[in-house]
Amino acid sequence: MNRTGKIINIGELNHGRFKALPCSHDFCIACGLCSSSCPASGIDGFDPRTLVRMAGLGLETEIINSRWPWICTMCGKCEHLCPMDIRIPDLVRHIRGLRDREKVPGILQKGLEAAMKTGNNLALPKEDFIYIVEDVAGEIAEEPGFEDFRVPIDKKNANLLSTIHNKLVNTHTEDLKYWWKIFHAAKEDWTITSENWEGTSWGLFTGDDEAVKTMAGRIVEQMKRFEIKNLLWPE
Amino acid sequence: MKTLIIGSGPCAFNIAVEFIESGNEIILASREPTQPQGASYAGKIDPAHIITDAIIVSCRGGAGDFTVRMATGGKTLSIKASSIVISEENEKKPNFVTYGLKPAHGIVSLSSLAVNGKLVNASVKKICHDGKIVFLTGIGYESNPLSTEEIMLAAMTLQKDRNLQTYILTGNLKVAGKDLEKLYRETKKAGAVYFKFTNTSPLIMQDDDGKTVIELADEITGLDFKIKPDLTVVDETLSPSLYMNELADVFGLHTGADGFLQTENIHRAGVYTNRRGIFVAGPSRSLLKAGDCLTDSANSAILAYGIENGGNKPEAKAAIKSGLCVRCLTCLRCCPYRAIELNAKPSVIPGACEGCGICSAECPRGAIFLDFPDKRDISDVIRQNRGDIKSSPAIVAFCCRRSAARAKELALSMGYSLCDNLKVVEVPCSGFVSVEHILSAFRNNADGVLLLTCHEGNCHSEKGNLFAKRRVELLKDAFSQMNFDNERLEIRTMASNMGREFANIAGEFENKLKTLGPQGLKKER
Repeated sequence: MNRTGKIINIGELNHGRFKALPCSHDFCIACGLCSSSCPASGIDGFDPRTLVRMAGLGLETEIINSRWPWICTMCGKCEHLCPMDIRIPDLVRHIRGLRDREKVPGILQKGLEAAMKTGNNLALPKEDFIYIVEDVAGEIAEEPGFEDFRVPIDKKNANLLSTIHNKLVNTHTEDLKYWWKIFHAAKEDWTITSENWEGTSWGLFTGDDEAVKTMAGRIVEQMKRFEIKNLLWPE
Repeated sequence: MKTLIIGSGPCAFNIAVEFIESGNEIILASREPTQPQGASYAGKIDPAHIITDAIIVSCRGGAGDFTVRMATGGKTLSIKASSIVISEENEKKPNFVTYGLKPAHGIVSLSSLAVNGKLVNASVKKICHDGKIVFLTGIGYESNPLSTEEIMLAAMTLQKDRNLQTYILTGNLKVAGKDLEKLYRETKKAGAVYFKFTNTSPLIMQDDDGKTVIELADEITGLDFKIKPDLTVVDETLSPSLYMNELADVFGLHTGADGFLQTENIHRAGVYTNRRGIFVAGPSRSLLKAGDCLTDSANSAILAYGIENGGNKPEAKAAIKSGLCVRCLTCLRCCPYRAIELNAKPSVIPGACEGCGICSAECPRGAIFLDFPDKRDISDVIRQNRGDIKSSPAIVAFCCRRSAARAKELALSMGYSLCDNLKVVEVPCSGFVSVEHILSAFRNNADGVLLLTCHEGNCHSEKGNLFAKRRVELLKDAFSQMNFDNERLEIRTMASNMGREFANIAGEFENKLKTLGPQGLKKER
C-alpha cells in the first residue's frame, strides 16, 4: 500500500495548514465519488480524493511539489458530485498558487509573465498587432457585401468592446472574421483596443490571483479610457 | 398503587423523576449502597422512596398487582407495584487486551478520560500544549454510537479547550444516533484527525514509559505514519450486566440475541417486553444515547399509567377447569407471558394473560379454555363454518387476528375475489389452533385446512406460530401414515399488509384441492 517506503513522523505535520481555505475539504467522508468521476484519475497515480486527504493531513511539501494539481483539468465534475460540497477545483488552484513561480509547468508561466510585462501573452508589439488586424480587415473587405468594412481601433464612446484571444492574432487569424462580420452585418458600434487587448488570463491556471486581478483591471481601464458601454469578453 | 423502577444509573433516576413529576408514585430499587448525591435528580426523589443496596429476588403476580421481593442489607423486603420499569446500566469493559495494551499512566480507558465530554482524568492537565491524544475505537470489531459520541465530545474538549491534537483511529465509525454526524463534522472543524482502517490495522506498541508508539498506513493516501501520543485512550465494549441476566430470569423476560431484556420482535418496539406491565427502558433494552433514554422514560410513564387504569385488555383470557387439571405444568412452561402462577394448583394471573391460547392448545388434558367475552367457542365456529358440498373445494383457514385475518380484509378491499368456499376462522394467535381444531375442520367437511400465522420472529406471543408449525408437521406426518393426503393441510406465514399474497395463497391452495378432489371422510348432509 505504501507509495514511498518512508514513514512520516506525524508530529512534523501541521494538520491545520490548509484549514483557513474555504474549500471545506475537512469534511471529506472519503466516499470516492470525486475519484471515480475524475477524467484524470489514474494519471501518474493522481486522484482527487487522495489530494483532498493529503491537504487535510497537512502534507504541504508533498502536494505542492507533486504533479497532481497540474494534471487536474479543473473540469469541476468532482465538485459537482461531492456529497459534502467540497470545492476541489478551488483547492487545486490554491495548491498551484503555492508553487514557486519558476517551477510552474510548461508555457503557462512564460505566457503570463509576457502578459504582465507587455499586455499580451505573445509580447506582440502594438505596431505588429495593428498591422495584423488591419490585414485581416482588408481580407474581409475583399468579400462581396463587406466592401466598406474597417476594423475600428481605440474608438471612443463605442457601444461594445471586444477582447481578443492571443491565438487569433497568431495562428488562428481566420477565426477573427466570424465575429467581425456579424458586427458589421448587425451595424454594431464596436471597437478593439491597440493595447491590453488580451482576453486570456493564465493566472487562472497557475493559481496567481494577483495576475488575474491585473489582467481584468487592464480591461476595466480600457473601458473607462474609451468610455465604452458594453464588454464582450469571450475568453 | 405505584411503579417499581429497577436501576442504579442516571437513566433509572431520570425515569423516577419523570414519573414523580407527572404525578405518579414510585419506588426505586437501586443496587448502589448509598442514596444518590450531587446529581441533578438527587433532590427530586424522596429518599424514603429509594431502596439502596437492593437485589431483586422474586416476582409474583401480574400487571396491576405485582409482588416483588428484594434483598437489601441482610433483610428481605416485599414491594407491591402495579407496573415495573427495568433500567439497569450496562457493563463497560475497556478493550485494552484487543489492542495488546495494559493500562498505564499514558494508556487509559474512555470512561476514565471523560464523561459526557467533561475530562475526568487528572493526567490530561499535565500534557503540554500541542500534545497528542490518540483514541482507539472499533478496529477489528464493531464499536457503538455511545462510545463514538463520548470520543467525539472528548475530542472537542481536548481540541478547543486544551489545544491538544487528537487522532481518532477507527474501524467503522458508528454515527447512527441523533446529531452524531453533526458532531463528527464539528470535531473535524475543531481539528481532530481521523484514520479509518478497513484493510489494514495500525501497529500499536506499548513502551516502557507507559505510552504507546503507533505505526499506521493511511488507507486513502497509502502513506505510512508514526505517532507517539502523550495519551492513548481505548474505547469500551458495552454489554448487559450479569445482574441484568438475573433480572431476566426473575421476571421471565425474553432476551434478544445480544442479551438485552428485549427481543427484536416488532411487538416489543419501544419499551415493551413479553410481559404485560413490565417495561424495559434505556440501557437495559439497547445501547441508547442519553436523549433516547429520556424518550424511553416518558414512554414507560405513559404505559405504566395505562396499566394503572386497566390498560389495553386482551380479547380473551385463559381459564383452567380445576377438575381436569393434573398439575403437569405444561401451561406454566409454555406461557410466553408468565401468566400461569403455581400455588396449590396452577392458576391464571388475570393481569398477565394476553389471551393467546397457546396453553389451551398444549394442555394434554384439555383443561384450559379461552374465555371470550361473547362466550364464543372456536369448535362451534368451525362447525358453523362447515364446508358445503359443492363443486368447489371447502377450505377452512385459521387466521391470526394480528396478521392473516387483516390480510384477508385487505385482499377483499383491494378487490381480489377469494375462493368460493373459503371459511375464515379468526384466532387470537395461531398458537391457539390445536390438533383437535384442525381435525375438527376436516371432520366438518373441509377439503383442506390452511394455517396462516405471523412471520417467524414476529409473533406477539413470541412462539405461537412455532407451536402451530410443529402441530401441523406432526399432523402431516400422521396423515401420510394413515394414507390421508397430507397436502390438504398447509401452514404459511404472512403479515397484515399482504392482501395480494393472501389471495394468491388461497387461490393456489384451492387449485391444489381441485386436483386432489373431495376428501374421503366427507359426510353427506
